[in-house]
Amino acid sequence: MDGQTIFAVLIGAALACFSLVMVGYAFFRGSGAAPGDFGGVDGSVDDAVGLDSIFDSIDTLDLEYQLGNVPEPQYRELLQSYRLQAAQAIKRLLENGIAPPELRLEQEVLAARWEIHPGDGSGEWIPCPQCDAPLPQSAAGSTDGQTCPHCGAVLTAGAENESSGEAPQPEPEAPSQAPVR
Amino acid sequence: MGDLGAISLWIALALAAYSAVSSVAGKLRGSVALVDSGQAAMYATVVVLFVATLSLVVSFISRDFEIAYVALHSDLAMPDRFTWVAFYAGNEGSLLYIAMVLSVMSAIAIWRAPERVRDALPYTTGVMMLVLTFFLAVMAVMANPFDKLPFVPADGEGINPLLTHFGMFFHPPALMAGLVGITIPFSFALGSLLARQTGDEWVDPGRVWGIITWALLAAGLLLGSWWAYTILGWGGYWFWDPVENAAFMPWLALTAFIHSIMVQKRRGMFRMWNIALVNVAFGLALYGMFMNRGGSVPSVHSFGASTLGWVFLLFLAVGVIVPLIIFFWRYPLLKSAQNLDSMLSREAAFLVNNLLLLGIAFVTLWGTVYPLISPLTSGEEITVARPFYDQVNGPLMLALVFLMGVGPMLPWRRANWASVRRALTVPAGVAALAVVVLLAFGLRPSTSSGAYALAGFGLAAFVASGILMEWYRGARARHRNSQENYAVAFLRLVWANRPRYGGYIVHLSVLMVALGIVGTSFFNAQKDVVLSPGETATIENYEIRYLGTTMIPFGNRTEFISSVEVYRDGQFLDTINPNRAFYPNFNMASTRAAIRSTPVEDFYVVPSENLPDGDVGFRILVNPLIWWMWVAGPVMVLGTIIALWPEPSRVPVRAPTRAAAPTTA
Repeated sequence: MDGQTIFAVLIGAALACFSLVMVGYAFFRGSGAAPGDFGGVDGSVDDAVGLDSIFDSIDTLDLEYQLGNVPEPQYRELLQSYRLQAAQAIKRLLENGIAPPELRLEQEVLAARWEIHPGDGSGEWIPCPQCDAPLPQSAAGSTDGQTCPHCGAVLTAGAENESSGEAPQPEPEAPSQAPVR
Repeated sequence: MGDLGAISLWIALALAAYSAVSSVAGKLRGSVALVDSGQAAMYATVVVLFVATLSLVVSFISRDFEIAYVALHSDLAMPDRFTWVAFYAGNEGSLLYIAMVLSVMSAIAIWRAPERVRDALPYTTGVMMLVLTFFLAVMAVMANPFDKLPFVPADGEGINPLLTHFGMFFHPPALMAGLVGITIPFSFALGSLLARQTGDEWVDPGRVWGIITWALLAAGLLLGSWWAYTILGWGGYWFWDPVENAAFMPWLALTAFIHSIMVQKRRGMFRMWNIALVNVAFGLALYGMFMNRGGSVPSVHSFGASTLGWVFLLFLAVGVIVPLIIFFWRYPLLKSAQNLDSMLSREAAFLVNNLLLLGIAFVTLWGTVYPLISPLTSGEEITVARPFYDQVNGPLMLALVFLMGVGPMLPWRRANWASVRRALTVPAGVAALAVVVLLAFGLRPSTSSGAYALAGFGLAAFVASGILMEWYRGARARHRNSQENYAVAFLRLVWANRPRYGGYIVHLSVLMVALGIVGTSFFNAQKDVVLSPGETATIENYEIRYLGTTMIPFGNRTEFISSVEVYRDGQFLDTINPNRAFYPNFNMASTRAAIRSTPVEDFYVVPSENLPDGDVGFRILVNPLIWWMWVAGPVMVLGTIIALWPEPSRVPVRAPTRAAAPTTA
């Protein structure tokens, strides 16, 4: 055998060893995962991805509205529908302890404010219809699909009269002008 | 290095086969270790194939003529810069290139796969690695680039002269990467089906990889057209050659796919349709590879001496039938989340766009396979040429351009006639104005070419003005709301809506191609003349004066460089030097056209024959608007990059255990 052939065989053998190590490592390492658990995600992450998609849809809808491609009644109707979908997804995320960072931050700020000033600073507050946590009157009376920061229930006008977590459909808000994002 | 390359190839084959089997078996048996091991093997193939690729490159650089492939596709006179081209100049090297690209794409696709498809990834990996195993097995057994000659020749045969062109550095690799890249979205779709994930899980990776492979194919097709235009010496750029068609058809199917996958992403619709489309695109890509490697229709692009045709035909059959069986097996689970609300909506426009694109693809497929079928029906082989494609595909393409203008103006779900009228009034007005101007300049719709040209230019004006109007209205809205100046408002608008505005830029590039096609198809002029030194010829308002030819011998060729003066309306413009080279080893001539290119028109001169007495046969062309076609390439790439640029993700995080909220109720 000449030098080149020996070199080829040596590098080839190294490649074969490398391949065997790569292939065999998974068996020795042990993934710690239960049999059949291939890292698939639970429904919570589906909700998060769905939430992303809803945000995208709202962005697109806003753009279409600003471009004049969507008439205002349809814009309102679709925006409301997307907001409700988003609120429901957020609620499920909170229930599962998973939430986008900005949402978590928002919840913490709200909770901190209410710790200092139950209600919204005006001293007026009402209990969440689902978890009885204190909510500012303005949030509970809002009509734009806000959620309770503690349990994620969708808040609607007259929510204080609801006895269960089943969120009623809020009335669509009427934007006076195209929203700026 | 040949030995190392051959060893690497066999190791890669073993790894790919193992990865395919262990991924699927691991999933079926619920063994996480087996699946992880299969994925690790997939990553290892990248390293091992890289060593094989490097071995072949080093063999070329060192001119190791003991390796048959190196001896066949290079010689001592070949400049080193053509090593990259020589690498894929033949069947064996191009298969190695394809395998390398597929392994890299597979590794990136699996590594970057979103969480939602994790459960289906073992099947996805299995499909990718099965396809890779096929290419590696064909190489190892039938077309090994590291096979050795029984003797070492003093010199090689040299690189094919037609390949010594700048376009060849990008055209074949882009096209081959695009064709094999379709495996990636196809694998995600098939993997999801096998894993019973019949919702929208695979949509994001499917869309991203669909757009990447679409852009690769588009770039490859455009570069191929440019190469044909400048080197083949006939003055055209598209011949409806069977192998050109074979790359064009999957591109059409992918174009349909990347539009309809947006509908699934937005609305959860077209689930069945998208799976079917990506299957069709994959089947057409396999057909393209079959045509390229031993298909029964001869072509300037195919590897003429290839004996691999039957293997690829077999793979094509398996690649079409097996996914079809899986599709019908899972068919009852493939229900769309939404229905079409209205035929006056963006979804409906995408659906019609899909049907038109598939219509063009199948017309092209019919024209391509008809020479094979005609002997069975008429007893003689009938070749389908350009008039067939022009007559059938021409109107379909015009309808497609029209939809390109209307579709983006329609909102999702449903539109009303008032909003459609409002959105289309300005573009329709601009289109009408363009037609009036063209009529005033003497273009008459009485001939079919005149009517087509009027329709083409009118529709181009319609689409372009629609896009520009959208840009203006979006920028104006931002300007009003946030007081940004118009330039900043426009840039931020694009940045905030990258997929949409990237798509608009790609649409503009398609319009540029359309302009080139209309210009060259209906307004070009051509003349073939034989000139002695000092003689002149005229074409339209151009005149050329042939001054003489210089003969320059090189090691592997003899070049004949002609000098030609160009005048327009009697004014001297330039002296150009078209040349023709003869390669005795290949008994082949290669031409380089001299092109004076402007956005209005190309003036094109190519020597078609050098006669012994010093006379030269010239082909002279005036090709209006073709410049736009070549500029479209970079514009399309820019649009694709913008569309694919990752958006900041709203990644969910596991929340820390929160303190109980203050409750007084």
